[in-house]
Amino acid sequence: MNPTFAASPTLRLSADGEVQLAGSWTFAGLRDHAGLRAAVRAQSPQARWDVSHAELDAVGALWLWQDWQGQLPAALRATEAQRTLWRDLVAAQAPAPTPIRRDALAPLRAVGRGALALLTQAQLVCMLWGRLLLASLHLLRHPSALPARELSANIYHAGVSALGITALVGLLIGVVLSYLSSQQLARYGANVLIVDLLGISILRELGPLLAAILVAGRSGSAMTAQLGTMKLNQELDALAAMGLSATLRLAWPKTVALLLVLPLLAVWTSALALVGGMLAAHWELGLSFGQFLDRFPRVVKLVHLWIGLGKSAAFGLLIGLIGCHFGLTAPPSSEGLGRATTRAVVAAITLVIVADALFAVLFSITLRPRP
Amino acid sequence: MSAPAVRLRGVSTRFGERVIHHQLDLDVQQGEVLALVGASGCGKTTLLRHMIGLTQPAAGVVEVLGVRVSPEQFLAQRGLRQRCGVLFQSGALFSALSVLENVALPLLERGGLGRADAAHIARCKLAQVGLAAEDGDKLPAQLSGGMIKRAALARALALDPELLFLDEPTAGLDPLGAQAFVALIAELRALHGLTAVMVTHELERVAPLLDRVAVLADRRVVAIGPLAAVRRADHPFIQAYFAAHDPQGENHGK
Ligand SMILES: Nc1ncnc2c1ncn2[C@@H]1O[C@H](COP(=O)(O)OP(=O)(O)OP(=O)(O)O)[C@@H](O)[C@H]1O
Ligand SMILES: [Mg+2]
Repeated sequence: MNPTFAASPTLRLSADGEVQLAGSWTFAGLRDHAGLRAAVRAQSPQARWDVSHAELDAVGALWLWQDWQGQLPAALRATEAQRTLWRDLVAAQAPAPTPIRRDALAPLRAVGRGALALLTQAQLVCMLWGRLLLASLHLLRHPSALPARELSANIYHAGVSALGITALVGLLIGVVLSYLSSQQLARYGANVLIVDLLGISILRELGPLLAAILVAGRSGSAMTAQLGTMKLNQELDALAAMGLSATLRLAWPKTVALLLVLPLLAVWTSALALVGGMLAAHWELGLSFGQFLDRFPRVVKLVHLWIGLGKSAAFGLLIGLIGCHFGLTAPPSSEGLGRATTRAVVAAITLVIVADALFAVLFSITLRPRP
Repeated sequence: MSAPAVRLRGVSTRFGERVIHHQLDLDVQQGEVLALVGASGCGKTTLLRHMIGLTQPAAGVVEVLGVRVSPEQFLAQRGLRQRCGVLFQSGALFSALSVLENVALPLLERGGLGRADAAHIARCKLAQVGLAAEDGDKLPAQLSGGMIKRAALARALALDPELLFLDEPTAGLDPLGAQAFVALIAELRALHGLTAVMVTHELERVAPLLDRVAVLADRRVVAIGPLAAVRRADHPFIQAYFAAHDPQGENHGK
């Protein structure tokens, strides 16, 4: 009674008109004998069929059932297992498709949903900010709970290991900026003004912005990926179940590390950009290093450095908040995590630039010429 | 007797200094269901990974369905892998795809089936492993532990493979689920040729399925044979293992 396995599929008409199937009526067997499906269709489903000697898999059973026009022959000889398989297949038929209703307001709704989603995100970031403040208060009262190891590890990863890339980018941007400006200034014979130009624009704008963008790409994305993976693996749940706060243990050290590290990185980037600028000014305008360094403290007010430092701290806070927020709220799937990481980087860089514009307006007073 | 479905000869595995397998031999015959048992961490999953061709042992030969598997020949051996189904210990479902898409994926990737047919078969497989129709639309993150096992089993069975590798298929299933699993495998064996290697800690639950049991200890297979014979084997680990299994000394042997 049992089918014989791994033989070519065959269809035979017996003397008394029974259609007999034997061999492998499976996907692998039928793939090499494509003509057999037509042979099945050529027979009437009303005939007497014997499949009990055929080896059958789900694909084979489905194809037979389809070739029988969606029903089992009335006179069918089959094993119990085969009948069960067909029963399962029939039960698993596609449900009738629900008609799609056209919605004229759909685009409007989509805009509304998008706006609401944005507001929800903003609300969640604010809540994270609040939780971080509460964590800081808690740390003020219980200094022993300070996650010092995490903090120093984050400072190392976000700061120390970013020194190389920020130096390179800063130096090159400094060279390029100085080179292009020199050519313009030389036409007006205003060579020495290159010092004023570079000093203010780099200390105040470029250094902090470059450092922030690089850190957002390096560390912001890493934070989101790390927290998102921890969420995917239920590590966040495990922390919570142990009574450890994910905010205090994970988000706080990451954000505070960026807050501390970004001003330092900005100074570092600015310094190298100025070195690059000085080099290019020397080549292009023949301005000696001595002249450059002599004029620099006289024309660049200290306030520009302070503004650069303050802005960098704010950028660090923003990048940390955004990176942690997207990590902690990442959907628990590989694709969702990838999307969250992209969003975190894009949102962080966008917000940094928006904040920079706001600061520019806010501190424009410091740019007034000296009396 | 036909050539074995899986043939391991002199397999040795090392992780750094740690030796997991040493000169291990094992044959899985065509058409049999073999259980692989052993202490936790003794290298059952590692051995299964060699058989699937995900890793290569430090020394020794691994032949599956007459072919020497090697990760280097991945593309050339694609067809071989499509004849095998794998249930990973922790499910390994694709988290970005719904349960139904997870099961339909191998069917679609193999080619030769339309989308509607692949979905039909996937729904059928889900029903066979005991998942409700509406579970098919869920994402893996929305499943319970037992449901993950069932969905992963459905995916392993999607292609109706000749050779099944199951890593703890009944762990996390309720007794009824384990019973249904046994019935399903028995049914598949009646339908088409099927060889299965299953790692298990729950011998008594799957006992009706088993042709042979292999015990992994001391970095090799210390006993292999029908359950009843293996229980009587004179090896300290086996004695302790079965004593712990049924302290009352009931006999589950076939
Ligand atoms: N990638 C790896 N690197 C280092 N060691 C590993 C690696 N994978 C497994 N091991 C070690 O190999 C040993 C065997 O692991 P394996 O996963 O095969 O155990 P197992 O027999 O399946 O156990 P269980 O029954 O608990 O699933 C373990 O000691 C484990 O620590
Ligand atoms: Mg294992």
